[in-house]
Amino acid sequence: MKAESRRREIPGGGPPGTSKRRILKDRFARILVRLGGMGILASLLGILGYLCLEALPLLSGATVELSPSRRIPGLGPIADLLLGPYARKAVVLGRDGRIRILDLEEGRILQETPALRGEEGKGRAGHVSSGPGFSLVLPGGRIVLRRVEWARRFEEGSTKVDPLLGEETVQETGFERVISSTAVFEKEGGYAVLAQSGTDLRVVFLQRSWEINPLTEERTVRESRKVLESTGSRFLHLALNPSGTHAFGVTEDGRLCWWDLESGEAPRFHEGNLKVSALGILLGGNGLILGGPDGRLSEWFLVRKAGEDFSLLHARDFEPVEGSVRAIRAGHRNRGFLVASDTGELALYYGTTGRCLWRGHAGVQRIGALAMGPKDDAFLAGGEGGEIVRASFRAEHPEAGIGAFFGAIRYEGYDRPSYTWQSTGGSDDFEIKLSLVPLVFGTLKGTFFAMLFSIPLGILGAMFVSQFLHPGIRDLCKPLIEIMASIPSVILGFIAAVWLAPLVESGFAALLAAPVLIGILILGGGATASLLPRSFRRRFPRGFEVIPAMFLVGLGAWFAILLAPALEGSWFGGDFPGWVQETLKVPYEQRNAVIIALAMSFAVIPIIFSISEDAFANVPRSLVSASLALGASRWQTVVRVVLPTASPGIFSAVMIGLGRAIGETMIVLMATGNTPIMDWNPFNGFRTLSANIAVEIPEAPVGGTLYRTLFLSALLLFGLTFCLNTAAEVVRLRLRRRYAEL
Amino acid sequence: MQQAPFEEPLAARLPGSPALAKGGGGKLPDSGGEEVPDKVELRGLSLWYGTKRALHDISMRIPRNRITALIGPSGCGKSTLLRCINRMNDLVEDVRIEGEVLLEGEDIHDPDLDVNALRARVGMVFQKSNPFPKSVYENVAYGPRIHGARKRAVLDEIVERSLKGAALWEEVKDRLHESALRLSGGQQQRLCIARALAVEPEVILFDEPCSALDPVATGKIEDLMRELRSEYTMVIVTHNMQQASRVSDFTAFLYMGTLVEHSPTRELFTRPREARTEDYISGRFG
Repeated sequence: MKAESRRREIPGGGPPGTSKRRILKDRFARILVRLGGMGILASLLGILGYLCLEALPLLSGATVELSPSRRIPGLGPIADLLLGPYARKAVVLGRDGRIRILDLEEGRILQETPALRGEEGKGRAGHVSSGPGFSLVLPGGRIVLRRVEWARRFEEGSTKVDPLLGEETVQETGFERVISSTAVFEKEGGYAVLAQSGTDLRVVFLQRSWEINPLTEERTVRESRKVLESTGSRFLHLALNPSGTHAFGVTEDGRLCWWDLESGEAPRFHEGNLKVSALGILLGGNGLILGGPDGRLSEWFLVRKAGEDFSLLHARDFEPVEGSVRAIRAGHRNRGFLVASDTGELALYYGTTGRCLWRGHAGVQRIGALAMGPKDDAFLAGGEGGEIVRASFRAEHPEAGIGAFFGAIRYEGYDRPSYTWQSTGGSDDFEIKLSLVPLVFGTLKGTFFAMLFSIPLGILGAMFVSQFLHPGIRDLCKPLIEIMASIPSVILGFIAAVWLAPLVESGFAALLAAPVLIGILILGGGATASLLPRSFRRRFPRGFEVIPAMFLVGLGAWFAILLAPALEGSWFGGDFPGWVQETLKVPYEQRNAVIIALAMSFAVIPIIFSISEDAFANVPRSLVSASLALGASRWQTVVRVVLPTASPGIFSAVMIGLGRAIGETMIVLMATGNTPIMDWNPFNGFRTLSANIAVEIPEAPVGGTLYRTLFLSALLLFGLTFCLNTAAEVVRLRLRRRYAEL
Repeated sequence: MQQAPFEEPLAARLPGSPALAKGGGGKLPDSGGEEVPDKVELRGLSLWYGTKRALHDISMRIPRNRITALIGPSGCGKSTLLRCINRMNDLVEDVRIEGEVLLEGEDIHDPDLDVNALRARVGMVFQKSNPFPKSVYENVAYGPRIHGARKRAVLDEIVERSLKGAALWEEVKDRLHESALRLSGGQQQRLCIARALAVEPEVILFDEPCSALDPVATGKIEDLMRELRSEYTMVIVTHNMQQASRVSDFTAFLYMGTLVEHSPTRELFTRPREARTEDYISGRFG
């Protein structure tokens, strides 16, 4: 019948004019529908593509442009190097004890001066742990310290950079001979020196800092001198951290040790046989990079395990370089560092992730010194024969990487690998921690607790409303619950955070008691009702049981509130949060997963309810009749026939609810406390992927690592919901095929 | 369609037809002349859907171990009458019933009667086959399970017996655990009969069981009904007068909610007492 009538609508049947219009209309509608569908697909792919595009640069390493090595006339063997801004000028400390300022663009020496006037040709370069400057060890236990700063001036429309050599400072160590030393130039202008005597192997820590009174311009110099115990070891390498709190040393026999300079205690050794040919300190002064004669590289830092004192921890190993490590130079902005080996190999690494960003060859065999540009955008390698290799490089997201996002990482000061999200810190030398795992965990935790509430309530509610409730009440009930879905989630979040969270904290006992009491009352009420004679019960229309039941729910809740103080007093010692902390040994936070479960279920239940109710209502009446005609009770019919038949729809209801819970932002943003911790404890907070994006995107510089990481987390969220929805659809279709012939 | 000229319930106008005599657990003469005891008796049954009256004061007796056919034009109330016997009308909102339905002399509307137990005694097969979306086995085992059968061996035995009873065993014994929805239409309908047989009912109600089936499948169902006749009391609603004359022992003709005539089938089709009946069976309306 239908096919026939449709055939008659096709051209030729009607009057000529209308038929043409009909074709046009039909064509127009078809194009419109097709365009709409294509548009949705295209925008979806566009969003996906954009997210990928923004996140993809995170996985790139470093791009390095290495200039060929060049000899600068008059430049001898290089002992130490410093590189100025824009990589235009460099300052070189030669083996001959002379400081030379180089113009790298023109390839000539601009200026030459001895490190200490009158002592030319003597001494050897000392190690500088951090800070801009050179140190030179002179005979007689003297150490010369020359600070180098950079002055910028604007001239002819461009910025010129000039090095400013600080005054010659001679620090007496009080030893006859210094065998090894290291120096730190502090930001404020002071310095610190660590030196070991060649005669009695004592180690001395010298610190000098000055303060300028802003009114009188009077300079007060503060000096300190501490002789440290060396336990008779001879140190090959020494290093100081920039804040001057800890010193490190590597002994001849390959032991690594450290001093706590504030307590002045004896050094503590990390036993083992380490072969160290170079040593560097990462930005922040906590990470120690050791390079071996076999090309091996490792990072160490001080860790305080719970209840123990500090100890040195071997944090990670890096991809080894070829040949023996000659020099290590840390970056000024992040945990990156540059390594040179005696085969002329250069490599860039990143400390936190252990990634090798770049490896290349300098074209010079023996590299004696390395310098990193102040913006970490260029480096300089100086050969022992006076060659200079200049490179500009870009490592935009060195702290990123699959390992950084998804792997457990031993961050500085962490005694074990951990998944941590900590995108900003108090200082510039903060180590950024970008693990997405706690955020994924938070998302799953929030979703789990929300679903724990929403799935049973939503499905059972739908089952009751569609199968047991009187149609008159049902028609009122369904739209009412669907209105719940239209409450903006920001309002739910606000109410949850400001009103619900303190209420739950003070009345948790009532929350626990209410379901039990309500359950007992409802069951009791049902049992009482079943004792009444059938003839009496038949006077009430079926499906109105909900009215006395609602009264019982109210009564149960009221009892729970009345009983709560007594319950809290007898079970939880009068203070539930305190009880949780003391008895369960887990923290209780006011904004926690329970609050989220309650608040989010307001958003999720209407979805699950509405779709499952439709699924229940769509179960063919013939099946219900068949079951009832066999003598099954209503309950048996619902459980054994209606529920299985409605299961595909219920399944998609749950999945769509799950998708909503995963993507939900405002409620979790406002009521979780946003603490990115990984703990299943329902009494503390968490941070979800979605809330994290909302919290951090305003503070993320466009194009930066954090910005792109947030895009990556958005991609992850997209992927999560996409996979979930696809899986749901596949399962739903499969289930539906089972019931297709109904 | 002609308007029915009756103003008052037909039964009242029928003079002393023995088959329609009101009251009393009487005996009904079989077409062969022997007396058959009643299984179900309707006494002055009236039914309203809201304000619309669907059945008018119907009294009839349904004899034991016989097949009673209910015929009549669409909307005459035959299905409604059928559904009164196992109280399936309870599921419809706003239904009011007056009069009595006696099953073995017991009023099924007794407030103290368990409707689920009643329906276990009075099985039903529907117009459209409606197997559950479960396996063949589970479909048949459904009834016994809800009535408490748990043991696998017991269930196996019931399933086999019921499927054999519904002449389906040979066709499905190798695919008991396949979905019932993969069976053909006729097989599905016989499965529904087997499902009804599995709870061992006393009466089986058939609501146009063959209306969606081809003649071969219809023939099988009819053969089956004849085979089941010795053990069950059956009532069949049908549109198809040939079917009624082929399978039934007694036929009741309903028109506009009233019972026009109720006689042994051969008598009704050969010598109808009422002009309406004759008009209907000879195809002048309907």
